[in-house]
Amino acid sequence: MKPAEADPRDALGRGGMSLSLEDITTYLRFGRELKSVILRVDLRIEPAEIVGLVGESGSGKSMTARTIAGVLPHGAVTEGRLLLGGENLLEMPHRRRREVQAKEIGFIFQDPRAYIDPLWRVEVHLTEAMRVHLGLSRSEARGRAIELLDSVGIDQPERRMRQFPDELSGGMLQRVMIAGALAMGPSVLLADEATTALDVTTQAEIVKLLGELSSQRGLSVLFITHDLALADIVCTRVCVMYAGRIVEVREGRQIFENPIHPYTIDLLAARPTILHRVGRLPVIKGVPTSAMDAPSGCPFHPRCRFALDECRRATPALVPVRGGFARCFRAHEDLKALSPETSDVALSSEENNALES
Amino acid sequence: MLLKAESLYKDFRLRSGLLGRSSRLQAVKDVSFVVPASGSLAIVGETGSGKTTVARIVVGLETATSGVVEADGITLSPKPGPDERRHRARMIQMVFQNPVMSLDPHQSIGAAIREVVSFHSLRPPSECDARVRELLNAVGMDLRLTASRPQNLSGGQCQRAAIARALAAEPELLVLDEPVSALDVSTQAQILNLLADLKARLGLSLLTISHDLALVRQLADDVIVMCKGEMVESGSVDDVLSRPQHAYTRRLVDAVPEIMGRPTAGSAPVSASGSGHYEDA
Amino acid sequence: MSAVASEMLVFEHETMPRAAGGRWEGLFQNVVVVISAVILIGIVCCALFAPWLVPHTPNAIHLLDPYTGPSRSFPFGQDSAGRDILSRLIYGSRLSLLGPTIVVAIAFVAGVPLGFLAAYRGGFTDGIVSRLFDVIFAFPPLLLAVVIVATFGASFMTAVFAVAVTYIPLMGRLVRSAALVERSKPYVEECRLQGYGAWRVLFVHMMPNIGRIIISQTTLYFAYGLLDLSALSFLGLGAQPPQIDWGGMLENANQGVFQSSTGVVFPAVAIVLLVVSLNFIADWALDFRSRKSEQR
Repeated sequence: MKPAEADPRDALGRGGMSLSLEDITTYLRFGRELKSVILRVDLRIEPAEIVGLVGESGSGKSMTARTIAGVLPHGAVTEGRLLLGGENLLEMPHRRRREVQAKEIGFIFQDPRAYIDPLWRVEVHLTEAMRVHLGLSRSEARGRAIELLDSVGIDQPERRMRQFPDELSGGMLQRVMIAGALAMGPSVLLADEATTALDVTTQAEIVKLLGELSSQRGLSVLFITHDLALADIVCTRVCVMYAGRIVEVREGRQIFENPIHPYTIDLLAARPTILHRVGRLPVIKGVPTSAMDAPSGCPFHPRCRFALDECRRATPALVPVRGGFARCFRAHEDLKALSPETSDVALSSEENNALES
Repeated sequence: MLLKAESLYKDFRLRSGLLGRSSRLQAVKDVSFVVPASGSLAIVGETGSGKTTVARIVVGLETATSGVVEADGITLSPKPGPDERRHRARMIQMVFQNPVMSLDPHQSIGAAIREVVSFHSLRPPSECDARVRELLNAVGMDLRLTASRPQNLSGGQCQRAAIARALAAEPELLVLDEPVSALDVSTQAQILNLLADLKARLGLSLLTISHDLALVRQLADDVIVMCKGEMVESGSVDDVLSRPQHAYTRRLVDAVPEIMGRPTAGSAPVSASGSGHYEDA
Repeated sequence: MSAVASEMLVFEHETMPRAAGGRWEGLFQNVVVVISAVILIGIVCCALFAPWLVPHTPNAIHLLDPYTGPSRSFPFGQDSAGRDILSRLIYGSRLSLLGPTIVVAIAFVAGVPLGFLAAYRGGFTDGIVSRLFDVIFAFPPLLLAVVIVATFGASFMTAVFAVAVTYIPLMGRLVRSAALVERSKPYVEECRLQGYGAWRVLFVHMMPNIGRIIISQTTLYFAYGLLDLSALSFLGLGAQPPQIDWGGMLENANQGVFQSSTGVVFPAVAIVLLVVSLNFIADWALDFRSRKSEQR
């Protein structure tokens, strides 16, 4: 098997661009009102970096990806600076912005079957955009598509080109989607829960593939997931989002061992682990909230074990702490050591009752 | 109740091509297991392993091509009619993967639970509502939500309601099909605690179908690993997950992010290495 | 979902919040629906109160003034036999409303149970019912209706029956598809698991969820039924004189269209108004119910 080699042609002569979000706030329109879904997000991805964005429902992680790609619902407003290779996408004329977004930003979504038209052969899916946007002829596009399939680790690419999506397994199809995302030679790759619907063994392979692609092509990758453990091993840097804000940023491999923010600490503790059984999983009381429904002050404070009065009154800023950043007034304390990781206190059903909002 | 499955086989006929050439897909091959009374067994596998098919056979939604399912020594009918189903529902209930879709969008959750109680004639009509309240309390659900429809509830709340509905029939075995995969991490913990709680309090046995090995460790005592319809390994959760014997099981365990990250703790992200092509199934 | 398909997990963590359109969109939709409702009510009132609303007896002939344009005593003009078009229009609303109503009723009563049966039983039963539908579908609807009418003689009821037959498979197919979709959903499987009988599953659980689609489609079938019936009347195969319906008025006015177009214009406008209003109301009904069920 031929190892995947970096093909200089694939990078289309560009060395990869950095993606930078500065003070980005996105509002969605509800009737006459505008409600924020992500608030003052700062994020920077350099070429060949994989940055993870981790969060639950309402955290705003998908909205962040959509803001970068420019696929927000009608009437949405974005403030701040969205810089791709130094140029602010938000200040570009609409047409140029669309063009840049189509060519420079590739997407991979969670369910490949929902995004790849089952009616057409794989070949069509891959070559369509190239022929339209890059003006390639059919045979040129075909050739490039075969190269792409090869570079994402699909064997017998010529054969696969002629197949229909339903003839391919989930993992294969996700690779096809990745190939499609790379077709235009983008500098940025947005992977939104790209491995969530896959088997764990396939997930491991896809994740390795993303790593290779990122380093070989100088891609800036945004890896969105709800799985902290996965982000921990895949990403060079991990950002945790809650209620539309980034609440913690850590270098890769640190977030799992040394979380700083109470939310991250509790999120890690609430997960079952393959290593041993826990008497009772510590539960974060309440439910995750979105930016729209967040209370004043620190968005996490109603659910936080370590909340102080201050947390209700003021919103903490993202402060540098121990090699990372955290949005917490108590970030400098070693909160993880303060309380036991697991608790064997059984909750009565009344208490359970009171927990769900 | 002791549930025993012996030599289950399930073939599906697939049609392909214009002329409808049919081929046989062996989804389940010679699967046997036992769920002891008040025990907890998990069936683990990836897509296409046949684990969901096995669960559906146990519950009666699918008919095994051959093989037997026994509850307390009595064979359960492979092709149950409504009466047999009703009888089986008093012993075995199921909690589905997608909480919102497993509830009738047109019924309030209170009505759905009440329907089960009255259908099985478990309480006289005057006491049905009280029973519904009891069940909702048992799953930690706010009683003010009794009249709510599934679309207006969160995933976690729907799953609690679904569990309450399953408990309404007073079963001895709960079959859980990926019970928390569609839920947020923080909600998953709540539901897992609830299930462990109910098992302890009511003496329920649990048959959990999952691809999530961490969940299996948390919830199950014994586990069987399925690959392409066959059982490749079985044993206690501790044995199988900590000291996997079969190559496939080892592959599964090694691919879990926590395990993937372990050997080289503190080093570069795992994604930066690797080479070569992959031929997945 | 088949057992194999259900093993593919789709993680729905963050669904896109439903951002509504601008405020003008909602307003426009509402105004149109209100106007449609007013029109519909107006036509129904015409039908109900016809005897009191008409300026002239609809069948009173004035042979000396065929195909006359609007005048003071005949505001909409006169038809081939000098009859008052306005009065005929008002009276015509009766059969023009009654006809489609019966069509829809027959299609409903025959189509819905057949559709459910095919979906729930599947297999052989589904095969037979679907083939039956296919046979009827194979004929162009109007042609089939013409054949039936030609066989049994032209009259209002024959026309209604003929059109109804062509709508049975439409309704049946619709119900069958909707029922098949519902049947594969987990909540229906759960009902089977509990041991609920077919009746309970169909009527307590599946029907209410399909109802929205059925109601909306029924409204549309009413509208198209009217068009079909009017077409038959236009061909002279529907209601016969002295019965009045709008299609028949069109047939009558056909001959004298160059002398006076009012005979053609007014019935045509009436048909179009009714059909379009029904379409808007059907749309709104579909949206309304679905918006209601999506409210948090």
